[in-house]
Amino acid sequence: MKLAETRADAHGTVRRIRGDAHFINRVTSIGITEGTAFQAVRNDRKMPVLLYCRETLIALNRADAERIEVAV
Amino acid sequence: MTNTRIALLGQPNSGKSTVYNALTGSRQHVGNWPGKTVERNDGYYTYNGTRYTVTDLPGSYGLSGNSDEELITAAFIKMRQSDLTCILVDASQLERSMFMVAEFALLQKPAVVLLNMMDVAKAQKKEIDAKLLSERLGVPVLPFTAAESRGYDGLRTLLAAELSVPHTIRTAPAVDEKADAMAQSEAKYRWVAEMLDGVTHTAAPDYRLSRFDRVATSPVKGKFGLCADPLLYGADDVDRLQGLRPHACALRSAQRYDHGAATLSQGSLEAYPEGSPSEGMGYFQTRLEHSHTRVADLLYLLFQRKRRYSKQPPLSHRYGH
Repeated sequence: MKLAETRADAHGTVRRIRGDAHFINRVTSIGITEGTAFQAVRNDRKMPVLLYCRETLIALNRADAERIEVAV
Repeated sequence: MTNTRIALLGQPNSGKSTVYNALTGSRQHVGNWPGKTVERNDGYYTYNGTRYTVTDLPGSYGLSGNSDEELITAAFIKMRQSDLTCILVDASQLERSMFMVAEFALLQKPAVVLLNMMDVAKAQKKEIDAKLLSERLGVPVLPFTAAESRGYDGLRTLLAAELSVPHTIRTAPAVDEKADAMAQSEAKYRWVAEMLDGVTHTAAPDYRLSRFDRVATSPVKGKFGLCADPLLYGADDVDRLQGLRPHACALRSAQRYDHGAATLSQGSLEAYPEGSPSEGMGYFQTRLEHSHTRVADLLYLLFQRKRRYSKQPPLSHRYGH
């Protein structure tokens, strides 16, 4: 499933990140890599997804959250 | 002749400008949002009769990316050849912050590591074995709280000593230059995990928003909170304004950019719009600080009108690279 489809408070793991090298560089440098465990903190319609991973709270644009596949 | 050029390197909101101000006595504007420093600043201080040049670099998440900040910061480190780089690491988010150290380790340049925000780490009951980390890296690791004045004598002494007898990070991530961006990043995080093994305990992911943040980040209630802040406190008090609603602000900033991401924690926010993270937030904050744009910004906050900052000239133009 996509990160944008996760429910609040769900724990999961990042499975795959789709995108060009620029996008991959951006998300990995803020701590999101394949295999990273995360917690979805907030996911409201038309709002950025709020997730917690590597001791950091991250707000991710929905368009970007669509490109990240996760397993919960 | 003594080498005296020191660069302050770190991820956004790691405390570079606070250290810069304290060392040089200048009054750079500091704030708890990332991307505040959108241009390089040079300052000076004298210690034991020697004049030291300090460069406050714009915060960037890494050195290998292709955003303007990363290109400029990497170019400065590689080309300008500062004699010593002081890498600031957020002790409260050690694993993620160490990514910058991993990137820097590949350059084989003299460095000291400043474990900043130790007060926050202690409040979160995180224990960090700085001595063990220093032994593994091969460079000094100084636990530090930039906001407290008492540690700066020790920092000045350390910087002077390291400029006389510099050390470089003795190990580096096993990065295959031909591998894709994901494989390279994973190799860097593996190296970070090796360095931090036994140095600190990383808590399992479990986070609870405070009651205030739940309201502030709410799709409906949050909008009222966001509009009320500047009206209650005035747009002059940007620091306080940011401190009060960091999560809401980060969410808005991520929402505002079509391809944006933002990271935030313990009262800080880090915005990361496409192409140039510092540019967007820096521009937004600058606008907030200018009275003639306050009305426009309040209207913007009220109606959440989509606005792109892509027409801003890229940072590389400003620096003439």
